[in-house]
Amino acid sequence: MTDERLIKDLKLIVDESQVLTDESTLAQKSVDLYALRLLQKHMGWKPKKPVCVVKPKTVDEVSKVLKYLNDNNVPTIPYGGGSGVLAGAETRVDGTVVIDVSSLNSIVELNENNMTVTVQGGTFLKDLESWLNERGYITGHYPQSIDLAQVGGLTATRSIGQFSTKYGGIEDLVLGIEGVLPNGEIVKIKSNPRRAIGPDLRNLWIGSEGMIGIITEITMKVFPKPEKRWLQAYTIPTMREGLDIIRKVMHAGYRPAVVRLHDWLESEKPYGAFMNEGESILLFLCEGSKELCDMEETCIDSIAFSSGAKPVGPKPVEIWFKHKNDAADEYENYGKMGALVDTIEISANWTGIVQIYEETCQRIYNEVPEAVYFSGHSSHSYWSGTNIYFQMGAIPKKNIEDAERIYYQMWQIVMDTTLKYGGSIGHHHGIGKHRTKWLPNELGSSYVMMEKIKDAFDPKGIMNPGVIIQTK
Amino acid sequence: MEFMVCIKQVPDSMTIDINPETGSLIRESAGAKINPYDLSAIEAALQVREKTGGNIHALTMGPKQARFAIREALALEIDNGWIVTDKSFAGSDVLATAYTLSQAILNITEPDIIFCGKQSTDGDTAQVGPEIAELLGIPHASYVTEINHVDKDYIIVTCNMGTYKEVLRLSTPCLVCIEMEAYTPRISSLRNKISSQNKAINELSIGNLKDKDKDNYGYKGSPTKVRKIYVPKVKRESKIIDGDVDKIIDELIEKLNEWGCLNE
Repeated sequence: MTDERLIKDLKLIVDESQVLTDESTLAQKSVDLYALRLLQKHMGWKPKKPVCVVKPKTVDEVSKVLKYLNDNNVPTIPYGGGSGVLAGAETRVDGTVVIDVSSLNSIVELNENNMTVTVQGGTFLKDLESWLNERGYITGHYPQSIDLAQVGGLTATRSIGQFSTKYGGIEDLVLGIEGVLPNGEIVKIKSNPRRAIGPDLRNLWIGSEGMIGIITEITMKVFPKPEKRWLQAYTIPTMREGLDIIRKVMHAGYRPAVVRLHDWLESEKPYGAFMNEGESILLFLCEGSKELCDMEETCIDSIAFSSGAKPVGPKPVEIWFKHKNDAADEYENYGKMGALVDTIEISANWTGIVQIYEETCQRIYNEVPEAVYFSGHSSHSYWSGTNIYFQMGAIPKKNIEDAERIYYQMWQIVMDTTLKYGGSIGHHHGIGKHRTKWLPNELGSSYVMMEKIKDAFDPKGIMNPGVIIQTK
Repeated sequence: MEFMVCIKQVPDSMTIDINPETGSLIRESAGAKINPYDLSAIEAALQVREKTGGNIHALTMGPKQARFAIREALALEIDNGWIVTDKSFAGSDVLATAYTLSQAILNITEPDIIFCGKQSTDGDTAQVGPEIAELLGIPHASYVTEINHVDKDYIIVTCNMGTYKEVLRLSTPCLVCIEMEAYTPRISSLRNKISSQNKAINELSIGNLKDKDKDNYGYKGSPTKVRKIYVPKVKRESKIIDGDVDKIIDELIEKLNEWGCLNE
């Protein structure tokens, strides 16, 4: 089918104004915030543009458009806020149509008895948060991408927020989902506190990254605005000791909204005034009712202090809070400077996390002479383990190939070391089209289930080709 | 040859807290980094050393946490790091700062060239460098965009004077204040960052200086006092506007008006 015919047909399904073909829109919706591209575009890399961007206004329109695209074997990428960092929304196949869900942005219902809110997939998280705040509630979900991301996209990428240790990841927040399958079928999973009715179908959508269809509506938990907040920072000689304190806090049953442990390299500039050289810093933020907050304050302080941490007051946590999303603004500048900058988030059980952190840092030091920065922090903790968020920087030669070579070398080291100690290669950025090569090793014998899910829901393979599962 | 680079640790952000009573900056509230102008001064010194050989000393005045700035300089392969720190230096204005640094330099070495950044991003006075030169009784050049020639007896530099360029010959020892755009700072490697952690940082206090009179340093030694410092309030908000161009422009203007961006 020619591009002209495709555009003409789509304009018969939705209004002409909803089928965009201008160069600016095509360029904008052909990429997301994949770090490699943020550098390579300054070295001459050009995106592959989709044929058009369709902006449906109703679920019915999503259904009709998808059915048409499926019937005609047209590669299709659902597009939300575009804040993904692993090329999940990047157009890589000729003849692709992008479906931008931004117009599906209604807040459908707030149920104050159940403490849930139902929104359409294209609702911006920051708009939802503001709307809830005006009514005395919060989402409890604050990813660094909050200024850009939409609720549907956050669900599709299995997002996590900075306050997740208390409120949970998106998988803990989402109770009900409506989505559209590639053949146009609209399927709805009702919101319920818990069910035992076979495998939880929500999890086919959560983290699906457009692989099996388009998420159009989400029902999620809301929480009352916290009555009190407690902030406290501690310095600790090593990451190893800091991780052990977090483990003790989690095993004692406390749930600080934020518990972060930054290594020396990450700590020295923002928190240097509070610590000695070479130390790591541990940040706690507890919130909720006054009684709960007071209890957590006493108990966490006791665990930290008795484990050798030195209290340094609330100021470092205030600094973190104030600047917690600044990095998102700086990425464009790094590319202009010729620097390759990215973050890699992994998770592991308490038994493997220290080895992953220490060995990865050592390997980068030994094996990547072009590295200019490599640090790590733990920022989301659980009963059985935690995550490490590695931050990397390198200065490659000024060409696309060298940037790619170093990028993959550093990623390979993190992925190899994580898998070696039984960790998971992806904690909260998803798989996209970048992390796919490591997924068979991550999933092992269960990888076949992922392939079968894809085949079952998208037998023609039109949905976001190359995402999660490598194109054969 | 011996070189000295004077560096300053400055707030890493514009969103810094201010003590409402004294009007002074609460430096710990904003994180810290090397003054970007000073990074260019370091780069100029490194480039000169590559041609002539010799030793570079980095010197800063500040509290304990200013050691992080010296550590960063060491990661850039500066040879020796120095911090001059003492409670009596608190509250220094530009003159007291220049005096303290000049006293410290006299204690450390006899540099052939002293490099300073043209100004700092927090104080913005551009006076410390020239004042150090005056206090040491040596020639200086400001707004230096190029160091054209260096030998033991003299240097030739080009200065950007705004509407014209000036080429100056200065006999050594001398001091130069480097323009930020003239020398793009290199980025230290991870290996150098880590190995610099084990290098010694030399510490000086008032007891090490020739002039030990506390009245000549810090707040007491400062003829100028800051009456008020404030930071403009920044509101963070974003909106993505889609649709046809005419509609986008209308909505954009409406939004910019609403945010007060188009008000006089």
